[in-house]
Amino acid sequence: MDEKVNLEEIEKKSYRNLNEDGLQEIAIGLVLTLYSGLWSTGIIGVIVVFQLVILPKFFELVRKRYTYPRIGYVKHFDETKETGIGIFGFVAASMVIIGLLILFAYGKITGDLIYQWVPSFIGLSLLGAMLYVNGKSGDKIYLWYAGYSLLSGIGFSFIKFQPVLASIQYYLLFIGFSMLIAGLVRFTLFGKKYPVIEVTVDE
Amino acid sequence: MSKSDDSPINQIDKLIHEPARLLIMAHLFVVERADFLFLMRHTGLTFGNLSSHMSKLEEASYIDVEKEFIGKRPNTKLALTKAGREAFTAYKEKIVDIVSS
Repeated sequence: MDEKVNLEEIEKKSYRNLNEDGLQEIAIGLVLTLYSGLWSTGIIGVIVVFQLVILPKFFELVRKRYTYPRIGYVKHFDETKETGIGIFGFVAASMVIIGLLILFAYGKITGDLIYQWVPSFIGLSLLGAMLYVNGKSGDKIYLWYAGYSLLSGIGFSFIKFQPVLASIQYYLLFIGFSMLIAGLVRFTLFGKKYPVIEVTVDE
Repeated sequence: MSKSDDSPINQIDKLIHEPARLLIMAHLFVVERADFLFLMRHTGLTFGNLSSHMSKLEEASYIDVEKEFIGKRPNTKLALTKAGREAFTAYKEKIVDIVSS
Protein backbone atom coordinates (compact mmCIF):
# COMPACT_ATOMS: atom_id res chain seq x y z
CA MET A 1 0.00 0.00 0.00
CA ASP A 2 1.31 3.49 -0.80
CA GLU A 3 2.34 5.49 2.22
CA LYS A 4 1.32 8.80 0.72
CA VAL A 5 -2.10 9.70 -0.63
CA ASN A 6 -1.35 12.15 -3.41
CA LEU A 7 -4.65 12.90 -5.13
CA GLU A 8 -3.04 14.58 -8.12
CA GLU A 9 -0.78 11.58 -8.71
CA ILE A 10 -3.67 9.14 -8.23
CA GLU A 11 -5.67 11.01 -10.86
CA LYS A 12 -2.73 11.12 -13.26
CA LYS A 13 -2.04 7.42 -12.78
CA SER A 14 -5.66 6.48 -13.51
CA TYR A 15 -5.67 8.65 -16.63
CA ARG A 16 -2.28 7.33 -17.75
CA ASN A 17 -3.28 3.71 -17.18
CA LEU A 18 -6.50 4.07 -19.17
CA ASN A 19 -4.75 5.70 -22.11
CA GLU A 20 -1.99 3.12 -22.28
CA ASP A 21 -4.24 1.14 -24.64
CA GLY A 22 -3.28 3.43 -27.54
CA LEU A 23 -6.89 4.06 -28.58
CA GLN A 24 -6.48 7.81 -28.18
CA GLU A 25 -3.64 7.82 -30.73
CA ILE A 26 -5.61 5.55 -33.08
CA ALA A 27 -8.58 7.93 -32.88
CA ILE A 28 -6.42 11.00 -33.58
CA GLY A 29 -4.67 9.14 -36.39
CA LEU A 30 -7.94 8.09 -38.02
CA VAL A 31 -9.40 11.59 -37.85
CA LEU A 32 -6.28 13.27 -39.26
CA THR A 33 -5.98 10.68 -42.05
CA LEU A 34 -9.64 11.17 -42.93
CA TYR A 35 -9.19 14.95 -42.95
CA SER A 36 -6.30 14.43 -45.33
CA GLY A 37 -8.37 12.28 -47.68
CA LEU A 38 -11.51 14.41 -47.60
CA TRP A 39 -9.81 17.81 -47.34
CA SER A 40 -10.37 18.72 -50.97
CA THR A 41 -13.86 17.20 -51.27
CA GLY A 42 -15.53 19.72 -48.99
CA ILE A 43 -17.38 17.09 -46.96
CA ILE A 44 -15.63 17.93 -43.71
CA GLY A 45 -19.03 17.66 -41.97
CA VAL A 46 -18.86 13.89 -42.42
CA ILE A 47 -15.61 13.76 -40.45
CA VAL A 48 -17.00 15.99 -37.73
CA VAL A 49 -19.96 13.60 -37.27
CA PHE A 50 -17.55 10.64 -37.37
CA GLN A 51 -15.21 12.32 -34.88
CA LEU A 52 -17.80 13.51 -32.39
CA VAL A 53 -20.52 10.86 -32.61
CA ILE A 54 -19.38 7.57 -34.13
CA LEU A 55 -15.74 7.37 -32.99
CA PRO A 56 -16.32 7.82 -29.21
CA LYS A 57 -19.07 5.16 -29.24
CA PHE A 58 -16.93 2.77 -31.27
CA PHE A 59 -13.91 3.18 -29.00
CA GLU A 60 -16.04 2.74 -25.88
CA LEU A 61 -17.18 -0.59 -27.33
CA VAL A 62 -13.56 -1.56 -27.98
CA ARG A 63 -12.60 -0.57 -24.43
CA LYS A 64 -15.43 -2.69 -23.00
CA ARG A 65 -14.09 -5.75 -24.80
CA TYR A 66 -10.35 -5.09 -24.73
CA THR A 67 -9.27 -2.52 -22.13
CA TYR A 68 -11.61 -2.88 -19.13
CA PRO A 69 -11.22 -6.68 -18.76
CA ARG A 70 -7.47 -6.04 -18.45
CA ILE A 71 -7.12 -2.97 -16.23
CA GLY A 72 -10.64 -2.42 -14.96
CA TYR A 73 -13.22 0.24 -15.74
CA VAL A 74 -12.72 3.87 -14.88
CA LYS A 75 -14.66 6.91 -15.95
CA HIS A 76 -13.14 10.34 -15.50
CA PHE A 77 -15.14 13.50 -15.04
CA ASP A 78 -16.49 15.05 -18.20
CA GLU A 79 -14.34 18.07 -18.95
CA THR A 80 -15.53 18.53 -22.52
CA LYS A 81 -16.55 22.14 -21.93
CA GLU A 82 -13.30 23.21 -20.21
CA THR A 83 -11.20 21.24 -22.71
CA GLY A 84 -13.16 22.73 -25.64
CA ILE A 85 -12.55 26.26 -24.39
CA GLY A 86 -8.85 25.46 -23.87
CA ILE A 87 -8.49 23.95 -27.34
CA PHE A 88 -10.30 26.88 -28.96
CA GLY A 89 -8.05 29.34 -27.11
CA PHE A 90 -4.86 27.50 -28.04
CA VAL A 91 -5.86 27.10 -31.71
CA ALA A 92 -6.70 30.82 -31.89
CA ALA A 93 -3.35 31.68 -30.27
CA SER A 94 -1.55 29.34 -32.69
CA MET A 95 -3.19 31.11 -35.65
CA VAL A 96 -2.04 34.50 -34.37
CA ILE A 97 1.52 33.21 -33.68
CA ILE A 98 1.87 31.66 -37.16
CA GLY A 99 0.33 34.77 -38.76
CA LEU A 100 2.79 37.04 -36.96
CA LEU A 101 5.74 34.81 -37.86
CA ILE A 102 4.74 34.92 -41.55
CA LEU A 103 4.44 38.68 -41.37
CA PHE A 104 7.86 39.08 -39.72
CA ALA A 105 9.58 36.61 -42.06
CA TYR A 106 8.06 37.72 -45.40
CA GLY A 107 6.77 41.21 -44.63
CA LYS A 108 3.34 40.27 -46.06
CA ILE A 109 0.57 37.72 -45.72
CA THR A 110 -0.72 36.06 -48.88
CA GLY A 111 -3.01 33.09 -49.48
CA ASP A 112 -0.12 30.91 -50.68
CA LEU A 113 2.01 31.77 -47.63
CA ILE A 114 -0.88 30.89 -45.33
CA TYR A 115 -1.38 27.52 -47.05
CA GLN A 116 2.36 26.88 -46.92
CA TRP A 117 2.43 27.44 -43.15
CA VAL A 118 -0.78 25.61 -42.27
CA PRO A 119 1.20 22.42 -41.43
CA SER A 120 3.12 24.42 -38.80
CA PHE A 121 -0.16 25.73 -37.45
CA ILE A 122 -1.57 22.17 -37.22
CA GLY A 123 1.68 21.00 -35.63
CA LEU A 124 1.49 23.80 -33.06
CA SER A 125 -2.15 22.95 -32.31
CA LEU A 126 -1.25 19.27 -31.87
CA LEU A 127 1.60 20.31 -29.58
CA GLY A 128 -0.94 22.12 -27.39
CA ALA A 129 -3.24 19.08 -27.32
CA MET A 130 -0.36 16.72 -26.48
CA LEU A 131 0.96 18.98 -23.74
CA TYR A 132 -2.54 19.04 -22.27
CA VAL A 133 -2.73 15.23 -22.23
CA ASN A 134 0.80 15.09 -20.78
CA GLY A 135 -0.33 17.40 -17.99
CA LYS A 136 -3.35 15.18 -17.30
CA SER A 137 -1.50 11.87 -17.38
CA GLY A 138 2.14 12.66 -16.64
CA ASP A 139 3.00 10.28 -19.50
CA LYS A 140 6.19 11.47 -21.22
CA ILE A 141 5.23 9.82 -24.51
CA TYR A 142 2.95 12.83 -25.18
CA LEU A 143 5.97 15.13 -25.02
CA TRP A 144 7.51 13.08 -27.82
CA TYR A 145 4.29 13.32 -29.84
CA ALA A 146 4.21 17.09 -29.17
CA GLY A 147 7.75 17.63 -30.44
CA TYR A 148 7.25 15.27 -33.38
CA SER A 149 4.03 17.03 -34.47
CA LEU A 150 5.51 20.51 -34.32
CA LEU A 151 8.86 19.70 -35.91
CA SER A 152 7.32 17.69 -38.75
CA GLY A 153 4.76 20.50 -39.29
CA ILE A 154 7.56 23.06 -39.59
CA GLY A 155 9.44 20.65 -41.88
CA PHE A 156 6.45 20.30 -44.22
CA SER A 157 6.07 24.11 -44.31
CA PHE A 158 9.60 24.41 -45.70
CA ILE A 159 9.00 21.92 -48.51
CA LYS A 160 7.70 23.49 -51.73
CA PHE A 161 4.59 21.61 -52.85
CA GLN A 162 2.70 22.10 -56.10
CA PRO A 163 -0.09 22.99 -55.69
CA VAL A 164 0.69 24.65 -52.38
CA LEU A 165 -2.45 23.16 -50.80
CA ALA A 166 -0.90 19.70 -51.11
CA SER A 167 1.39 20.50 -48.14
CA ILE A 168 -1.65 20.43 -45.84
CA GLN A 169 -2.93 17.17 -47.31
CA TYR A 170 0.46 15.43 -47.11
CA TYR A 171 1.15 16.67 -43.60
CA LEU A 172 -2.23 15.44 -42.34
CA LEU A 173 -1.58 12.09 -43.98
CA PHE A 174 1.93 11.91 -42.51
CA ILE A 175 1.00 12.85 -38.96
CA GLY A 176 -2.24 10.83 -39.14
CA PHE A 177 -0.39 7.67 -40.17
CA SER A 178 2.30 8.31 -37.57
CA MET A 179 -0.31 8.52 -34.80
CA LEU A 180 -2.13 5.50 -36.16
CA ILE A 181 1.04 3.39 -36.12
CA ALA A 182 2.02 4.63 -32.64
CA GLY A 183 -1.49 3.78 -31.44
CA LEU A 184 -1.48 0.31 -32.96
CA VAL A 185 1.92 -0.44 -31.39
CA ARG A 186 0.68 0.70 -27.97
CA PHE A 187 -2.57 -1.24 -28.44
CA THR A 188 -0.59 -4.45 -29.08
CA LEU A 189 1.89 -3.85 -26.24
CA PHE A 190 -1.01 -3.10 -23.89
CA GLY A 191 -2.56 -6.48 -24.65
CA LYS A 192 0.73 -8.21 -23.86
CA LYS A 193 1.45 -6.19 -20.72
CA TYR A 194 -2.01 -6.62 -19.23
CA PRO A 195 -3.59 -10.04 -19.60
CA VAL A 196 -7.33 -10.38 -19.01
CA ILE A 197 -7.95 -10.66 -15.26
CA GLU A 198 -10.67 -12.79 -13.75
CA VAL A 199 -11.68 -11.21 -10.43
CA THR A 200 -11.83 -13.99 -7.83
CA VAL A 201 -12.96 -13.99 -4.22
CA ASP A 202 -10.13 -14.68 -1.79
CA GLU A 203 -10.48 -16.39 1.57
CA MET B 1 -2.41 12.83 26.32
CA SER B 2 -6.09 13.54 26.84
CA LYS B 3 -8.23 15.36 24.36
CA SER B 4 -11.71 16.74 24.82
CA ASP B 5 -14.47 15.27 22.65
CA ASP B 6 -14.71 18.39 20.52
CA SER B 7 -10.97 18.67 19.87
CA PRO B 8 -10.10 18.62 16.15
CA ILE B 9 -8.44 15.21 16.40
CA ASN B 10 -11.65 13.70 17.72
CA GLN B 11 -13.61 15.19 14.86
CA ILE B 12 -11.76 13.12 12.28
CA ASP B 13 -14.07 10.81 10.38
CA LYS B 14 -12.91 7.42 11.68
CA LEU B 15 -14.62 5.60 8.86
CA ILE B 16 -12.41 7.34 6.29
CA HIS B 17 -9.34 7.39 8.54
CA GLU B 18 -8.79 3.63 8.20
CA PRO B 19 -5.92 3.28 5.63
CA ALA B 20 -7.66 0.92 3.19
CA ARG B 21 -10.87 2.96 3.16
CA LEU B 22 -8.87 6.17 2.82
CA LEU B 23 -7.25 4.73 -0.31
CA ILE B 24 -10.61 3.66 -1.75
CA MET B 25 -12.12 7.07 -1.05
CA ALA B 26 -9.08 8.87 -2.51
CA HIS B 27 -9.22 6.83 -5.71
CA LEU B 28 -12.94 7.41 -6.10
CA PHE B 29 -12.59 11.12 -5.28
CA VAL B 30 -10.60 11.85 -8.45
CA VAL B 31 -12.79 9.87 -10.86
CA GLU B 32 -16.50 9.72 -11.61
CA ARG B 33 -16.79 5.93 -11.34
CA ALA B 34 -14.51 2.88 -11.22
CA ASP B 35 -15.01 -0.84 -10.97
CA PHE B 36 -13.68 -3.47 -8.59
CA LEU B 37 -10.84 -4.59 -10.84
CA PHE B 38 -9.57 -1.04 -11.31
CA LEU B 39 -9.67 -0.33 -7.58
CA MET B 40 -7.99 -3.63 -6.72
CA ARG B 41 -5.12 -2.91 -9.10
CA HIS B 42 -4.68 0.69 -8.00
CA THR B 43 -5.08 0.25 -4.23
CA GLY B 44 -3.37 -3.12 -3.90
CA LEU B 45 -6.34 -4.48 -1.94
CA THR B 46 -7.63 -8.01 -2.40
CA PHE B 47 -11.17 -8.74 -3.49
CA GLY B 48 -12.19 -9.72 0.05
CA ASN B 49 -10.68 -6.61 1.63
CA LEU B 50 -12.16 -4.30 -0.94
CA SER B 51 -15.53 -5.99 -0.62
CA SER B 52 -15.64 -5.64 3.16
CA HIS B 53 -14.57 -1.97 3.12
CA MET B 54 -17.00 -1.28 0.29
CA SER B 55 -19.86 -2.57 2.48
CA LYS B 56 -18.88 -0.24 5.32
CA LEU B 57 -18.66 2.77 3.02
CA GLU B 58 -21.94 1.86 1.38
CA GLU B 59 -23.64 1.56 4.78
CA ALA B 60 -22.49 5.10 5.55
CA SER B 61 -23.90 6.22 2.18
CA TYR B 62 -20.43 7.40 1.14
CA ILE B 63 -20.39 5.31 -2.01
CA ASP B 64 -22.90 4.22 -4.56
CA VAL B 65 -22.55 0.62 -5.72
CA GLU B 66 -23.84 -0.47 -9.11
CA LYS B 67 -23.91 -4.19 -9.86
CA GLU B 68 -24.43 -5.53 -13.36
CA PHE B 69 -23.47 -8.37 -15.65
CA ILE B 70 -21.13 -7.82 -18.58
CA GLY B 71 -21.73 -10.89 -20.68
CA LYS B 72 -21.73 -13.66 -18.10
CA ARG B 73 -19.35 -11.88 -15.74
CA PRO B 74 -20.57 -9.87 -12.74
CA ASN B 75 -19.24 -6.34 -12.60
CA THR B 76 -19.38 -3.92 -9.68
CA LYS B 77 -18.90 -0.21 -10.23
CA LEU B 78 -18.37 2.24 -7.40
CA ALA B 79 -18.76 6.00 -7.20
CA LEU B 80 -18.62 8.50 -4.37
CA THR B 81 -22.00 9.91 -3.41
CA LYS B 82 -22.44 13.63 -2.71
CA ALA B 83 -22.23 12.83 1.02
CA GLY B 84 -19.07 10.79 0.44
CA ARG B 85 -17.46 13.58 -1.54
CA GLU B 86 -18.32 16.12 1.15
CA ALA B 87 -17.08 13.79 3.90
CA PHE B 88 -13.77 13.24 2.11
CA THR B 89 -13.31 16.98 1.50
CA ALA B 90 -14.04 17.65 5.18
CA TYR B 91 -11.60 14.87 6.18
CA LYS B 92 -8.82 16.40 4.06
CA GLU B 93 -9.41 19.84 5.58
CA LYS B 94 -9.49 18.42 9.10
CA ILE B 95 -6.20 16.56 8.64
CA VAL B 96 -4.50 19.69 7.30
CA ASP B 97 -5.96 21.65 10.20
CA ILE B 98 -4.70 19.18 12.81
CA VAL B 99 -1.23 18.73 11.34
CA SER B 100 -0.62 22.44 10.87
CA SER B 101 -2.08 23.57 14.22
